[in-house]
Amino acid sequence: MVDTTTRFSFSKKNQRHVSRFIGRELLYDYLCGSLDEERKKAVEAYLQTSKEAQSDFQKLQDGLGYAQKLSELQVSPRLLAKITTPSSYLTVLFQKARFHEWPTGLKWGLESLVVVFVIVTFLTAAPWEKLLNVRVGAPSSEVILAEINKTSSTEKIQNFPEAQPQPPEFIDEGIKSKETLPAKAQTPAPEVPTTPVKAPRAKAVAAEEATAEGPKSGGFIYRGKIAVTNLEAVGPKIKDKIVELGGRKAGEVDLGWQKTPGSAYFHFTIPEVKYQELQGFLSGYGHANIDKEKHPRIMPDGIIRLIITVDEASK
Amino acid sequence: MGEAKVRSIALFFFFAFMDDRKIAEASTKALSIFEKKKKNLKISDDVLLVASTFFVWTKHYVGLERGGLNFSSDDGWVVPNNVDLGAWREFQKLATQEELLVVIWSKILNFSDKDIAQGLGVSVGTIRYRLSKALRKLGGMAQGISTNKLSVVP
Repeated sequence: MVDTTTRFSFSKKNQRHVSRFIGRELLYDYLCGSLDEERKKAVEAYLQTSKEAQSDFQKLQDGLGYAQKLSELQVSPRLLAKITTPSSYLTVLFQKARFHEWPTGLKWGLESLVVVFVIVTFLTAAPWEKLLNVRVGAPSSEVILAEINKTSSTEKIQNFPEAQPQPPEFIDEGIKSKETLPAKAQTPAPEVPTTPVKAPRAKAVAAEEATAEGPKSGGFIYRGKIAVTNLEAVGPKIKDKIVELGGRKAGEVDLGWQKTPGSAYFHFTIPEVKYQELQGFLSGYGHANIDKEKHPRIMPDGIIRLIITVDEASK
Repeated sequence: MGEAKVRSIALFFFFAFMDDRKIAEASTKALSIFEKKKKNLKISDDVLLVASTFFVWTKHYVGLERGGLNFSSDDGWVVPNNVDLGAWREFQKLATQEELLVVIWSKILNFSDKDIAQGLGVSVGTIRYRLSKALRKLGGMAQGISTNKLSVVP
């Protein structure tokens, strides 16, 4: 490091004593053997006198020895192969095609072609009409004046097995009484009588109704009542039979609705061909008094509507 | 690319991360960079290795939490029986980035100080200074672990 021919002394005694700072910094060079003779001697002299320097030097030696031991660590060929193996198909493709050896202009041209292709594909495939019609968060300026439901009648036709046009959903009507008839004419709300009404009275009501409706009324309804023993047991059986015969609930309440503790109410529609069978079934439990009455609501062909009150027989 | 170079890259990231998953990932990246630069730059392999490994380290892993240990001999690392990695693990955790990397390049991979300096774009004196500091720190941690009677590999 120092040319001995041109050197000059830095001390009066012609000796180069190293300071603590310099000595500390030169220890590594001393360990590596990269100091010239003069400095080497100076560092050795410093090491002789300084315990701190000796400790530092020991640490350096230990660190160097330890690092050299670490360098003996081996890597298996399997791991090296794993690192050198390209991870993706694209990388393999580039390697096989020697893409890196291609002229720069060609590479740029290919890359720009790919970019153009992607952009054109996007512009062609994007649903622009939908995107342009999307109004993100913008309040609509349209005012809805009225909404018309066009689906109700067609849906009901699909649900009905006979596939016939069907009037709007029925409401429970019960057996009408004379007292309630005028009120019904004013308000269309369903009327549920609190007490059972005898059939002759129902006949009279129907006659009145038919007269009031005049030539408009062209439909029929079957009203009746039956007294049975043990209503709790018989009611569900009647309900099951109605369902079995293809009957459907016509009003708002379920089949066999408990109008009062001793009375069940069945308002339903049924195929006309099953009516006789139903009558036969009911006659097994008691005398069914069912009358056909005129009614303004016209039922589809082959379908009849019945309102039957099943009462507990008086003992 | 020679196997020795791949081995150097793998070892660099082994001692830098001590995590098998990151080693493979980073090694692949560094290898790719090395091969690209090799074709364009006329510099020595060791300089390029230093530059590419340093690039991957600084770009992807400089903020990595160090001190973990996640590898096994099944992954392909064969640690000599008389080497204890405990001191290195501590050093890897506590040393500065400069100290850690320069020890790996210089004392484990045996790259010359000049190549390291060129790869990093700093002076040789800086490298020697960092090495001096790093070896003192590593020696302090390795003291008590005699290199002649080193204990079990973790």
